[in-house]
Amino acid sequence: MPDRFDETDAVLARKLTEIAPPADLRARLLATAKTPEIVEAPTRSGNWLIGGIIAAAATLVLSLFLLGEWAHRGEPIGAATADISRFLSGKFDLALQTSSVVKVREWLTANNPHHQIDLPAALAGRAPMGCRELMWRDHRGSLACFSMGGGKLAHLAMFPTKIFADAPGSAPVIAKAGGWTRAAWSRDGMTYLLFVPEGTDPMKELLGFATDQRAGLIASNSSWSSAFAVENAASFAARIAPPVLTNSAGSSSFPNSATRSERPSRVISG
Amino acid sequence: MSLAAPDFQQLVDAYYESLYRFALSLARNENDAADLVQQTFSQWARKGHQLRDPSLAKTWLFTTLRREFLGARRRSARFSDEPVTEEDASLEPPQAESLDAAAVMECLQKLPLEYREPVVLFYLKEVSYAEIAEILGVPIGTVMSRLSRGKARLRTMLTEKNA
Repeated sequence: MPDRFDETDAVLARKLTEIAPPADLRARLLATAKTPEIVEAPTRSGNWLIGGIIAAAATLVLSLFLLGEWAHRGEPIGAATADISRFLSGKFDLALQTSSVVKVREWLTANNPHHQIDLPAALAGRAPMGCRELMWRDHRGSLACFSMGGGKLAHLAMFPTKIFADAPGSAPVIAKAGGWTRAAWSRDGMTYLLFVPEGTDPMKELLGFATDQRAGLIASNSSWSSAFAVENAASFAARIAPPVLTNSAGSSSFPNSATRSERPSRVISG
Repeated sequence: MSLAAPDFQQLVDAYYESLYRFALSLARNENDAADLVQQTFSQWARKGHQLRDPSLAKTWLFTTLRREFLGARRRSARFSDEPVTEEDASLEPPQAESLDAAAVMECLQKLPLEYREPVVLFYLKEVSYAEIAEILGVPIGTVMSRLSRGKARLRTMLTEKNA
């Protein structure tokens, strides 16, 4: 026999409806709907250990081979831009799906133990979608995805600066590729490639170009976060140079990019 | 006659608040609750089209959210239950009225999971007893007994909180 829904139950049920979800949750969910290609990474099970050992061995052999080849030269960042922009336009997994920027920072820190990860403050203030590992030409990097609202997403890829032959400096370098606008800059041994849907407004907003104030950086540890809290735009502007704008053909300034960027997009993997 | 597949936005608008409240009762943490809801709708975006009967979308969402929670719970020790007192107490409507929503949720979150799930689903009024049984994967008789005990325990805790 069904449990009676008495007057007290009615009051408690009404109390429960007074609990409101986070104000931005609905927008985040709708952004998820517009990006159904972002799917959860498959759970490892069964033979993951054996697969991992085989993959590690293969990676080691490949790394030793590539080490000799690439010891004295880096990758062109134009090729990375082209490959990553193609990757972002397709289907990919997220290893961590979360709306918590704290969890994103924790994940990025855990996956980049030798680097200080800085998220642009304006980006960190957006609703994260999650993050994942990004392998590009056997270089391990990370990707964090954020909702821009209105169904638009921003993607921040990050790789060690040393892998690039022509890594940008601290000044964001803007380029366009495959329907995306990309800003790239380097800091503390890490190169960041921020992709937003083509159109400069979202990028301006994220990097603060519109007001000629550079975006602050939020570091992945608490001391840097505290430091950021008291840092104003002017002091940040003093330690970051103005953006350098290039056109989509900017990759032509990168040796070998014309041929290397012809590689299929699956050079990026999880 | 077959029902049209529900539009994603319609589903979000219809259920995300209730799903969030259910998630909050399970995860006891606003960020984790929001993540659970996001993961649930992300799953729907991937697999929802495979659901042959669109009328089951609501049950599918609650079931998926619960499964996501249980998966996270297995991987983490954060979601342990707390002991509660066994004796029953009566909670009159005026006493219940004087409680704020956060206090009600706090007490719900302290219920053992086996009672918490049916009680929250019962109060959300989104699903029937049969649907609660389906979501929890237990017979309807089990739902009824857990609901009865869970409500009694909840009232005990709320009475103590109100004292």
